[in-house]
Amino acid sequence: MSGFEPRIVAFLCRWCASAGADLAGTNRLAYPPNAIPIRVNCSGRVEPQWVVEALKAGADGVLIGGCHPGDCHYVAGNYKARRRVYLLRKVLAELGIEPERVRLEWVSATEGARFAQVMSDFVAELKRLGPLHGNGGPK
Amino acid sequence: MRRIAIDPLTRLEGHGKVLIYLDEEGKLRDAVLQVPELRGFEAFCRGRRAEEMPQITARICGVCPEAHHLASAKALDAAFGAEVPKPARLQRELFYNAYVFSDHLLHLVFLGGPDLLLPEDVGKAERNVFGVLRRFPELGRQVLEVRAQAQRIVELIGGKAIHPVFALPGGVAQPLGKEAQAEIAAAAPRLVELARTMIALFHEEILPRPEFQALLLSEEAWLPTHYMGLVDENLAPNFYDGQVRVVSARGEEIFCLPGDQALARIAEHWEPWTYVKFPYLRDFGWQGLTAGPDSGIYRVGPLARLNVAERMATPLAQEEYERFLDFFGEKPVHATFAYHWARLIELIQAAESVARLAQEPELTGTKVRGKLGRPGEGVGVVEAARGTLFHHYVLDAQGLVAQVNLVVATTHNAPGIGLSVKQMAAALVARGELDEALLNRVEMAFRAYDPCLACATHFLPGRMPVAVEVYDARGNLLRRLGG
Amino acid sequence: MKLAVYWTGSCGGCDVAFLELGPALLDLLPKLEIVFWPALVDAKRADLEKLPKHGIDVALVNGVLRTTENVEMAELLREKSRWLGAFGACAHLGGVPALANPGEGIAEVVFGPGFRPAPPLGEAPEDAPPELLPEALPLEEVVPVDFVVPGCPPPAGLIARFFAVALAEEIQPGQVFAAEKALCEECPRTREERRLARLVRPHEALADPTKCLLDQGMVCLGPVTRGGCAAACPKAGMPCTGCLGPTPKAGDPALAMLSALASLVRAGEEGEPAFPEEDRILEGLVDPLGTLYKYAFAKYGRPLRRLARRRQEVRA
Ligand code: SF4
Ligand code: SF4
Ligand code: SF4
Ligand code: FES
Repeated sequence: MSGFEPRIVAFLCRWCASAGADLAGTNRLAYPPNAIPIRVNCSGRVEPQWVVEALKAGADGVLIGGCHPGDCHYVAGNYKARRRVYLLRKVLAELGIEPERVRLEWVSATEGARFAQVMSDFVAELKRLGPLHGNGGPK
Repeated sequence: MRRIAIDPLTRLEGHGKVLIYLDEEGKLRDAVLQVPELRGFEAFCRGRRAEEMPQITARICGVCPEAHHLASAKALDAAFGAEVPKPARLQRELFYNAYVFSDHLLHLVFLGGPDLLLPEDVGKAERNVFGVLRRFPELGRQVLEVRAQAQRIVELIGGKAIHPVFALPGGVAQPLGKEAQAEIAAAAPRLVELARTMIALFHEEILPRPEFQALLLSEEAWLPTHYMGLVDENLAPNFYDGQVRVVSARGEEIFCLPGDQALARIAEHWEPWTYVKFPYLRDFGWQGLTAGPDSGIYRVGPLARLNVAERMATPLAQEEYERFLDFFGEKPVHATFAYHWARLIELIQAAESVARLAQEPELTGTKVRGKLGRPGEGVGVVEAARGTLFHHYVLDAQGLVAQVNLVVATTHNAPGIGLSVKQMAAALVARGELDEALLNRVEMAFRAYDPCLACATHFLPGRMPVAVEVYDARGNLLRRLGG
Repeated sequence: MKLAVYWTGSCGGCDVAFLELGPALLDLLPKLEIVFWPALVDAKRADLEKLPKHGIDVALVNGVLRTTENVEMAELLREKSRWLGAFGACAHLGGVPALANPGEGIAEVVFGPGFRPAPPLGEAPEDAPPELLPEALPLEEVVPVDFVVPGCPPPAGLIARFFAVALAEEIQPGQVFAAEKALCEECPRTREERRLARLVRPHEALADPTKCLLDQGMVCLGPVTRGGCAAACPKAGMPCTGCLGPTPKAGDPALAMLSALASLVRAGEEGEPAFPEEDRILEGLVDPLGTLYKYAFAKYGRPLRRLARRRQEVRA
């Protein structure tokens, strides 16, 4: 799949992953610019509907970034997010969509480098999987 | 070639067309019943949770969901190696007899019955349940009330009147409350009373009509086939449980076996012009779409059950059965229109059974689930209102469905129905009569079976004891699946 | 009121459901003129074709769209009717027969590869059985639908309400004849939103008769399903499987329900050490598509499934 640049929608917790992404930016860390970031209050607020909408609307993959275990501002939002993603991936797999297209990662506000790494890994994974929307876009 | 299509067939369950072909001289070339629908349950039941099957397969047919619900539960009992405790069994049996009553009543008043209850010249705008209600207003109200009571019994036990939810592998969802039992016991006598009224009406209004007797004994509605039905240990018909007995066109027993072994004696044939398959008895092989003692074609349903049985299970039904045998003078009765009479006899047996079961003290017992073993393979069989119904499942270790085979009442009857349609069309064409009232006669021929074409459409491939033979247009065997 | 009732790929339950009105039918019938209803009266397709545009006041279509003939009939009824309603879960959401969509083609499974429908005598090609559509579709995929009477089949109470509204000429475009609120609101079982340490399949345990089934670990779709049936299934000791369709708030019922389950499942104290045990509990949700999309696959699951299928085709 030469030249395929996966499109990613990234739901990022404002307390951690979103700040981590900003830090990666300010530190000028090189990471692929494929993601459209959407800042949310907590990874536990990300509804499975949003993830599916993103996939239907043209995303090749969806990243959910939340606080490390024990660090969630709402105590357990990230745990709920983890269970949701677990079930959502199960449903996606049954529908014939690779569950790897939905990824949950813990990234703290200080982990700019980790965020860059997560993005690069995810982009590589999605390149391996190829475009979700047949010819690279919806319709 | 001239072609006449009756499209859609009306007052039956599901989609059907009759296609009649005449040659240049106006002689009949062929007449077929076509089922232009396929929902493919065997395909999408795979992967479903076993315990969901009684609910999913109920959606094969909304007229007899109870039959699929319990055939499915019985297949699961077998697949999990479970004994069903008595209170659960009583719940199922009572529910089931209330269903047979309600379903037969539906046919007698709403679907096929208007053909009989109304004189033939009423015209098509009137020849329906509304016409029946206008002509017999008192009876009409009584039928609606009592049917509602029968449906209420089904609902009290099944949870919902259409698409019940209560049966599970090894038993039922929950014990039946004492109040529910009291309500059922109070309603039951009205069912018996209505069945008696219907039988009286039949003897006063319908049977004495010369044109009905002519129809009943006419050659164009006389079809010698074999018959299949469930019987209890006294060889009386039992709708919920028993052995599958098959009796030949000459009246001799061909076999009397448990469901799984009986299923192994059936094979299926298909044609590219319809989505329904044609089963036949393996002992005879596929001899084409023909009747007679050498063909493998058999029929199921009320008439078949009375033909395979030696007696009825309840007293009033037995009385009426004797009148029926006296009228025809010999068994098996091959008269297609005798299905209607047989249905009435079963209506009363079902009502009497409801009344008896409603009094059972163990009906409200709290032990409603048997112990389940590891999931495996199982066959369940019941008598649906329209005839013998087999469900056969193979489950995987997680209790998900790996394979499904369903052989449904109207599928068994598909060859018989096709033949009856052709017989009737041939007789009418020979007389040069093809106006609308007479075309209704063709429909009457298959309405006698109370066909449910919604039920009839499906199948399964591979590793099942049902073989499928695939023929080309010239009748050459192309390949054989399963078996 | 001129009424037509028609079944496409249907089980017939939606037709019989009208009779569940019981003796009340006797009051209703004089107000209706039935112009087409194959289950009960003998009008044929040709009679329907002869009707003028809008010759029918209200047409109720039940069943899923499965064949080209179903589509033709839906279009014909749309043209002849002032109001066209989806009656029952199959017409509304695809229903149980739309569970065929995730899998392979049904004709191949049923008759083997290479099955082609053909006319009886090889002549008159119009007499071949109609072609199967590649997917089972809800009514709204083919024609505009004005209102919905949901359920599998619609409960008698909702049918009665529909007729009262229709006879008063008060149908609202887009109206769904069921509650906006969730089924739990009308369920007599007491719900405490308990934490679930295990998911239980209905045959694995006898449910406590008064407590919420979901609290007992059964996947009950009550929280995401419209009310309107008086919680028939939970009253019978069985979980709701969602036949009235999702509430407007829930949207996609599978996604809303998996969210609810994710909130309830707990393996003791939350945190990293509990993850493997949590996953094990969640694995108890077997056949998620059949369980969460039992009636709604065609409407909600199909778009993603179609995406996946198109990709497979592009790859092949
Ligand atoms: S909605 Fe249910 S009752 Fe109606 S046709 Fe579909 S399966 Fe049958
Ligand atoms: S049993 Fe089902 S419908 Fe009733 S309260 Fe619990 S979740 Fe809601
Ligand atoms: S409880 Fe759920 S599945 Fe049962 S009838 Fe009501 S809405 Fe339908
Ligand atoms: S606040 Fe960051 S995941 Fe909850």
